[in-house]
Amino acid sequence: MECATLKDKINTVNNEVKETSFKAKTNIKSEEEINQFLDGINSVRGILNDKIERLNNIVIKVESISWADNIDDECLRILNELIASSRDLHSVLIKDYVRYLNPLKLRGICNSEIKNYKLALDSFKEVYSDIESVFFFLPKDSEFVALTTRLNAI
Amino acid sequence: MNVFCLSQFKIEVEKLRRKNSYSSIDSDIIDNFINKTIQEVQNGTRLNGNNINPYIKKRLDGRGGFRVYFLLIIHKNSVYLMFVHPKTGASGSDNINDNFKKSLYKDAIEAIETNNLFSVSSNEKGDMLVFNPME
Repeated sequence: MECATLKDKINTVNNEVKETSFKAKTNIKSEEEINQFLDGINSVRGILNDKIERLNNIVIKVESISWADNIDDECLRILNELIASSRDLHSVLIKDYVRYLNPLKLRGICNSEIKNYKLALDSFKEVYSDIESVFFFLPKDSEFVALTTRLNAI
Repeated sequence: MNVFCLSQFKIEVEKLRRKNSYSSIDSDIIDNFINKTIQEVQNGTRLNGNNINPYIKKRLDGRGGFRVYFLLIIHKNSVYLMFVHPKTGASGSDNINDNFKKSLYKDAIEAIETNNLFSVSSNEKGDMLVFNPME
Protein backbone atom coordinates (compact mmCIF):
# COMPACT_ATOMS: atom_id res chain seq x y z
CA MET A 1 0.00 0.00 0.00
CA GLU A 2 1.37 3.37 -0.97
CA CYS A 3 2.16 5.77 1.81
CA ALA A 4 -0.38 8.37 0.68
CA THR A 5 -3.15 5.82 0.49
CA LEU A 6 -2.26 4.47 3.90
CA LYS A 7 -2.28 8.00 5.33
CA ASP A 8 -5.78 8.51 3.87
CA LYS A 9 -6.95 5.27 5.34
CA ILE A 10 -5.51 6.10 8.77
CA ASN A 11 -7.08 9.54 8.59
CA THR A 12 -10.42 8.01 7.70
CA VAL A 13 -10.24 5.60 10.63
CA ASN A 14 -9.00 8.40 12.86
CA ASN A 15 -11.95 10.55 11.81
CA GLU A 16 -14.30 7.70 12.54
CA VAL A 17 -12.73 7.25 15.99
CA LYS A 18 -12.95 10.98 16.67
CA GLU A 19 -16.57 11.06 15.53
CA THR A 20 -17.41 8.08 17.71
CA SER A 21 -15.57 9.68 20.62
CA PHE A 22 -17.46 12.93 20.08
CA LYS A 23 -20.78 11.10 19.99
CA ALA A 24 -19.89 9.21 23.15
CA LYS A 25 -19.05 12.47 24.91
CA THR A 26 -22.23 14.05 23.59
CA ASN A 27 -24.17 11.03 24.87
CA ILE A 28 -22.72 11.59 28.34
CA LYS A 29 -24.11 15.07 28.16
CA SER A 30 -27.49 13.63 27.07
CA GLU A 31 -27.41 11.28 30.01
CA GLU A 32 -27.00 14.28 32.30
CA GLU A 33 -29.90 15.91 30.57
CA ILE A 34 -31.98 12.75 30.97
CA ASN A 35 -31.12 12.69 34.66
CA GLN A 36 -32.19 16.31 34.99
CA PHE A 37 -35.39 15.46 33.12
CA LEU A 38 -36.05 12.48 35.42
CA ASP A 39 -35.36 14.66 38.46
CA GLY A 40 -37.92 17.09 37.06
CA ILE A 41 -40.49 14.30 36.70
CA ASN A 42 -39.85 13.15 40.27
CA SER A 43 -40.25 16.71 41.45
CA VAL A 44 -43.62 17.03 39.62
CA ARG A 45 -44.65 13.68 41.10
CA GLY A 46 -43.81 14.92 44.62
CA ILE A 47 -45.66 18.21 44.12
CA LEU A 48 -48.75 16.35 42.85
CA ASN A 49 -48.72 13.87 45.74
CA ASP A 50 -48.52 16.78 48.21
CA LYS A 51 -51.44 18.50 46.51
CA ILE A 52 -53.48 15.26 46.49
CA GLU A 53 -52.90 14.81 50.21
CA ARG A 54 -53.80 18.41 50.96
CA LEU A 55 -57.00 18.25 48.88
CA ASN A 56 -58.05 14.92 50.41
CA ASN A 57 -57.54 16.37 53.91
CA ILE A 58 -59.70 19.37 53.03
CA VAL A 59 -62.41 17.02 51.68
CA ILE A 60 -62.51 15.06 54.96
CA LYS A 61 -62.68 18.29 57.00
CA VAL A 62 -65.49 19.72 54.85
CA GLU A 63 -67.42 16.44 55.10
CA SER A 64 -67.16 16.58 58.88
CA ILE A 65 -68.85 20.01 58.90
CA SER A 66 -72.05 18.30 57.69
CA TRP A 67 -72.24 16.57 61.11
CA ALA A 68 -72.24 19.82 63.05
CA ASP A 69 -75.33 20.68 65.07
CA ASN A 70 -76.51 24.13 66.10
CA ILE A 71 -75.47 25.94 62.94
CA ASP A 72 -76.40 29.60 63.47
CA ASP A 73 -76.50 32.49 61.00
CA GLU A 74 -72.89 33.44 61.68
CA CYS A 75 -71.81 29.85 60.91
CA LEU A 76 -73.84 29.95 57.71
CA ARG A 77 -72.15 33.20 56.68
CA ILE A 78 -68.71 31.67 57.22
CA LEU A 79 -69.78 28.50 55.44
CA ASN A 80 -70.91 30.59 52.50
CA GLU A 81 -67.44 32.16 52.38
CA LEU A 82 -65.85 28.71 52.56
CA ILE A 83 -67.94 27.51 49.62
CA ALA A 84 -67.08 30.64 47.59
CA SER A 85 -63.34 30.35 48.29
CA SER A 86 -63.46 26.61 47.54
CA ARG A 87 -65.13 27.30 44.22
CA ASP A 88 -62.45 29.90 43.45
CA LEU A 89 -59.63 27.50 44.39
CA HIS A 90 -61.14 24.74 42.27
CA SER A 91 -61.35 27.06 39.29
CA VAL A 92 -57.66 28.04 39.64
CA LEU A 93 -56.55 24.42 40.05
CA ILE A 94 -58.55 23.27 37.02
CA LYS A 95 -57.00 26.02 34.88
CA ASP A 96 -53.53 24.91 36.05
CA TYR A 97 -54.47 21.31 35.36
CA VAL A 98 -55.43 22.09 31.76
CA ARG A 99 -52.42 24.31 31.19
CA TYR A 100 -49.64 22.31 32.82
CA LEU A 101 -50.77 18.76 33.49
CA ASN A 102 -52.75 17.89 30.36
CA PRO A 103 -49.61 18.24 28.16
CA LEU A 104 -47.71 15.89 30.50
CA LYS A 105 -50.59 13.43 30.54
CA LEU A 106 -50.70 13.40 26.74
CA ARG A 107 -47.02 12.40 26.76
CA GLY A 108 -47.67 9.66 29.30
CA ILE A 109 -45.68 11.41 32.06
CA CYS A 110 -46.81 10.99 35.71
CA ASN A 111 -50.02 9.34 34.48
CA SER A 112 -51.01 7.75 37.76
CA GLU A 113 -50.34 10.89 39.84
CA ILE A 114 -52.18 13.11 37.37
CA LYS A 115 -55.17 10.72 37.43
CA ASN A 116 -55.24 10.71 41.24
CA TYR A 117 -54.86 14.49 41.32
CA LYS A 118 -57.88 14.86 39.00
CA LEU A 119 -59.88 12.50 41.24
CA ALA A 120 -58.94 14.60 44.28
CA LEU A 121 -59.98 17.77 42.43
CA ASP A 122 -63.32 16.17 41.52
CA SER A 123 -63.90 15.03 45.13
CA PHE A 124 -63.13 18.55 46.32
CA LYS A 125 -65.71 20.04 43.94
CA GLU A 126 -68.19 17.34 44.95
CA VAL A 127 -67.84 17.98 48.68
CA TYR A 128 -68.25 21.76 48.60
CA SER A 129 -71.27 21.34 46.29
CA ASP A 130 -72.76 18.81 48.72
CA ILE A 131 -72.18 21.11 51.68
CA GLU A 132 -73.89 23.91 49.81
CA SER A 133 -76.90 21.62 49.28
CA VAL A 134 -76.91 20.45 52.90
CA PHE A 135 -76.91 23.93 54.44
CA PHE A 136 -78.43 26.20 51.81
CA PHE A 137 -80.65 24.30 49.36
CA LEU A 138 -82.14 21.14 50.90
CA PRO A 139 -83.35 22.80 54.16
CA LYS A 140 -85.38 25.22 52.01
CA ASP A 141 -86.92 22.44 49.94
CA SER A 142 -90.36 21.84 51.45
CA GLU A 143 -90.63 18.30 50.04
CA PHE A 144 -87.26 17.37 51.50
CA VAL A 145 -88.22 18.83 54.89
CA ALA A 146 -91.54 16.91 54.81
CA LEU A 147 -89.67 13.68 54.06
CA THR A 148 -87.43 14.27 57.08
CA THR A 149 -90.52 14.70 59.26
CA ARG A 150 -91.94 11.48 57.80
CA LEU A 151 -88.66 9.69 58.52
CA ASN A 152 -88.93 10.60 62.20
CA ALA A 153 -92.23 8.72 62.41
CA ILE A 154 -90.67 5.41 61.35
CA MET B 1 -76.07 -3.78 62.74
CA ASN B 2 -78.78 -4.98 60.32
CA VAL B 3 -78.15 -4.22 56.67
CA PHE B 4 -80.99 -3.75 54.20
CA CYS B 5 -81.16 -2.29 50.72
CA LEU B 6 -83.60 -0.93 48.20
CA SER B 7 -84.15 -2.82 44.94
CA GLN B 8 -82.43 0.06 43.11
CA PHE B 9 -79.25 -0.59 45.08
CA LYS B 10 -79.37 -4.33 44.30
CA ILE B 11 -79.86 -3.61 40.60
CA GLU B 12 -76.87 -1.24 40.52
CA VAL B 13 -74.59 -3.74 42.31
CA GLU B 14 -75.60 -6.52 39.94
CA LYS B 15 -74.93 -4.24 36.97
CA LEU B 16 -71.55 -3.08 38.26
CA ARG B 17 -70.17 -6.47 39.33
CA ARG B 18 -70.44 -7.69 35.70
CA LYS B 19 -67.86 -5.12 34.61
CA ASN B 20 -64.17 -5.85 35.22
CA SER B 21 -63.33 -2.31 36.25
CA TYR B 22 -66.00 -2.38 38.98
CA SER B 23 -65.49 -5.95 40.18
CA SER B 24 -64.48 -4.64 43.61
CA ILE B 25 -68.05 -3.44 44.30
CA ASP B 26 -68.96 -6.47 46.43
CA SER B 27 -65.82 -6.36 48.58
CA ASP B 28 -65.99 -2.55 48.90
CA ILE B 29 -69.56 -2.76 50.24
CA ILE B 30 -68.72 -5.73 52.49
CA ASP B 31 -65.65 -3.96 53.92
CA ASN B 32 -67.64 -0.82 54.70
CA PHE B 33 -71.04 -2.11 55.82
CA ILE B 34 -71.20 -5.80 56.70
CA ASN B 35 -70.50 -6.75 60.33
CA LYS B 36 -70.07 -3.10 61.29
CA THR B 37 -71.59 -1.09 64.08
CA ILE B 38 -73.75 1.99 63.56
CA GLN B 39 -70.89 4.11 64.92
CA GLU B 40 -68.48 2.66 62.38
CA VAL B 41 -70.64 3.59 59.39
CA GLN B 42 -71.69 6.97 60.73
CA ASN B 43 -69.37 9.07 58.57
CA GLY B 44 -69.31 10.75 55.17
CA THR B 45 -71.51 13.71 54.28
CA ARG B 46 -74.76 13.96 56.26
CA LEU B 47 -77.42 15.24 53.90
CA ASN B 48 -80.44 15.73 56.19
CA GLY B 49 -79.23 18.23 58.74
CA ASN B 50 -79.09 17.23 62.38
CA ASN B 51 -81.82 14.59 62.14
CA ILE B 52 -81.34 11.70 64.53
CA ASN B 53 -81.59 9.27 61.59
CA PRO B 54 -78.87 10.43 59.22
CA TYR B 55 -79.11 10.26 55.45
CA ILE B 56 -75.50 9.85 54.39
CA LYS B 57 -73.42 10.00 51.26
CA LYS B 58 -70.15 8.14 51.58
CA ARG B 59 -67.13 8.02 49.28
CA LEU B 60 -65.57 4.57 49.25
CA ASP B 61 -61.83 4.35 48.75
CA GLY B 62 -60.82 2.04 45.96
CA ARG B 63 -60.58 1.63 42.23
CA GLY B 64 -64.16 2.49 41.29
CA GLY B 65 -64.38 5.45 43.65
CA PHE B 66 -67.92 4.36 44.51
CA ARG B 67 -70.39 6.74 46.10
CA VAL B 68 -72.95 5.11 48.37
CA TYR B 69 -76.15 6.76 49.63
CA PHE B 70 -77.71 5.25 52.74
CA LEU B 71 -80.00 5.89 55.65
CA LEU B 72 -79.42 4.95 59.27
CA ILE B 73 -82.36 4.27 61.58
CA ILE B 74 -80.61 4.36 64.90
CA HIS B 75 -83.35 2.88 67.12
CA LYS B 76 -83.68 -0.09 64.74
CA ASN B 77 -79.89 -0.52 64.63
CA SER B 78 -80.25 -0.69 60.84
CA VAL B 79 -78.67 0.70 57.72
CA TYR B 80 -80.62 1.02 54.47
CA LEU B 81 -78.44 1.12 51.36
CA MET B 82 -80.21 3.26 48.81
CA PHE B 83 -78.00 3.76 45.78
CA VAL B 84 -74.44 3.30 44.57
CA HIS B 85 -72.63 4.72 41.58
CA PRO B 86 -69.00 4.74 40.47
CA LYS B 87 -67.20 8.03 40.09
CA THR B 88 -64.65 6.83 37.56
CA GLY B 89 -64.50 4.61 34.47
CA ALA B 90 -66.98 3.99 31.68
CA SER B 91 -70.03 3.98 33.97
CA GLY B 92 -68.69 6.77 36.18
CA SER B 93 -70.97 9.71 36.73
CA ASP B 94 -70.81 13.15 38.24
CA ASN B 95 -72.28 14.12 41.54
CA ILE B 96 -76.03 13.44 41.68
CA ASN B 97 -78.23 16.54 41.90
CA ASP B 98 -80.55 17.58 44.74
CA ASN B 99 -83.67 16.30 42.99
CA PHE B 100 -82.20 12.84 42.72
CA LYS B 101 -81.05 12.97 46.36
CA LYS B 102 -84.62 13.86 47.30
CA SER B 103 -86.07 11.11 45.13
CA LEU B 104 -83.76 8.54 46.76
CA TYR B 105 -84.80 9.79 50.20
CA LYS B 106 -88.48 9.38 49.31
CA ASP B 107 -87.92 5.89 47.84
CA ALA B 108 -86.07 4.79 50.96
CA ILE B 109 -88.75 6.03 53.36
CA GLU B 110 -91.48 4.37 51.29
CA ALA B 111 -89.52 1.10 51.07
CA ILE B 112 -89.00 1.05 54.85
CA GLU B 113 -92.67 1.86 55.51
CA THR B 114 -93.83 -0.99 53.23
CA ASN B 115 -90.96 -3.36 54.06
CA ASN B 116 -90.15 -3.49 50.35
CA LEU B 117 -86.52 -4.26 51.09
CA PHE B 118 -83.79 -6.84 50.69
CA SER B 119 -81.66 -7.99 53.58
CA VAL B 120 -77.98 -7.80 52.69
CA SER B 121 -75.25 -10.14 53.87
CA SER B 122 -72.09 -11.66 52.49
CA ASN B 123 -71.65 -15.23 51.24
CA GLU B 124 -69.67 -17.82 53.23
CA LYS B 125 -66.40 -16.84 51.56
CA GLY B 126 -67.12 -13.22 52.44
CA ASP B 127 -66.41 -11.97 48.94
CA MET B 128 -69.90 -11.52 47.49
CA LEU B 129 -73.08 -9.77 48.59
CA VAL B 130 -76.21 -11.84 49.05
CA PHE B 131 -79.64 -10.22 48.74
CA ASN B 132 -82.77 -11.78 50.22
CA PRO B 133 -86.22 -10.22 49.78
CA MET B 134 -87.96 -9.21 53.01
CA GLU B 135 -91.58 -9.50 51.83
